[in-house]
Amino acid sequence: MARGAENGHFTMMNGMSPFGDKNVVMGNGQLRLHMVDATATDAATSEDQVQMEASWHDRDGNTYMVRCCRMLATHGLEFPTFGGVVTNHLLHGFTRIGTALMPTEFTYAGFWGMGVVLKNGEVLDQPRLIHGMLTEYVRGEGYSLDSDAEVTPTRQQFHLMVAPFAPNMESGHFEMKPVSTGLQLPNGMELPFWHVMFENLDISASRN
Amino acid sequence: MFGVKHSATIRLRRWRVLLMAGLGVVMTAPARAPRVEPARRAQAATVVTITDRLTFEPRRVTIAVGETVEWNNTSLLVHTVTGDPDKATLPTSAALPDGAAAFDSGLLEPDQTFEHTFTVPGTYRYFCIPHEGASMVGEVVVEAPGSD
Repeated sequence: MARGAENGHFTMMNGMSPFGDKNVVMGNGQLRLHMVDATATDAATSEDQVQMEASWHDRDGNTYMVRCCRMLATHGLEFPTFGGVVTNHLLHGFTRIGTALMPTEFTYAGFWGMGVVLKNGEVLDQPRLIHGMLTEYVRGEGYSLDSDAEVTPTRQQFHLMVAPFAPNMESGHFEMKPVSTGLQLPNGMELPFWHVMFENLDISASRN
Repeated sequence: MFGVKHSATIRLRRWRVLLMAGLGVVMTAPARAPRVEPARRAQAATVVTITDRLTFEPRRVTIAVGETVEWNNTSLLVHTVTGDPDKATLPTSAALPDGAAAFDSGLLEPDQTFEHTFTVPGTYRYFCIPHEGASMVGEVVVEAPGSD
């Protein structure tokens, strides 16, 4: 995999990752998400809350769904998770919070938690680490991933990631663990993650 | 650590965020009905196809004054056809000739169409609101009578 950088160079990786430019459009997407950011920093306990249900269809009529969060990541493993929900913060890129393969992006709200992956109502995988973030626009012409200099606050995007790795609480690191998504790629391989972008959002926020 | 509970909560502020959306891996919502302008064309319209690749094809069309352009959303996604600089967040997304009225399809569901008849000559630049950041823009060049 190669990812463009703003100096014209590329970040090269030996393996594949969920952070490339290739994408497929799937229809009938629905997202309902309610987040509460009550705990600002990593903590042993958190009053943050997330209720999310996201679904979409393939051309054969199958319904894919992700639900979160059965449990929030109250504090981070390799990077902070701000009690599970974070608001108004830079993530990814140079921040080293999450992957550096995504550009540095202003995040209006984001979360990390453990949830469930379903296909046609059947649970395929759980618990899985699920990350969502509402950010400024990070895709350019042809839907290619922007470099830091190209990211704009033009519009908002919501990113849903069911990551192909899992936390190992003994080692304190993430370890590769493909997600059972139920979506077969043209080469016969099962897609080992979900990285889904939602746009055209209705957003409301309040501060108590 | 993930999911381990102890004590000590630091509460600084409480933000609530509610998000609703629909449609696509690159997704959008079927919530609002599109506004489709009544057909006023006197002849067959020039057709622009809206694609899953977040493009208007052809990106640039040339018509005569009084002719109509029809946009056909062949994508699985919801798009808009918006020729209104006031609704753009980038100055390069939309532009109108002097004296021309703005136009906006509203949300176009898959397989829906939108028509607009152009009565003022000049170059119109329009965009898709949900995908403005992805440079989903197009142009209509309207030629005055007698121009080559």
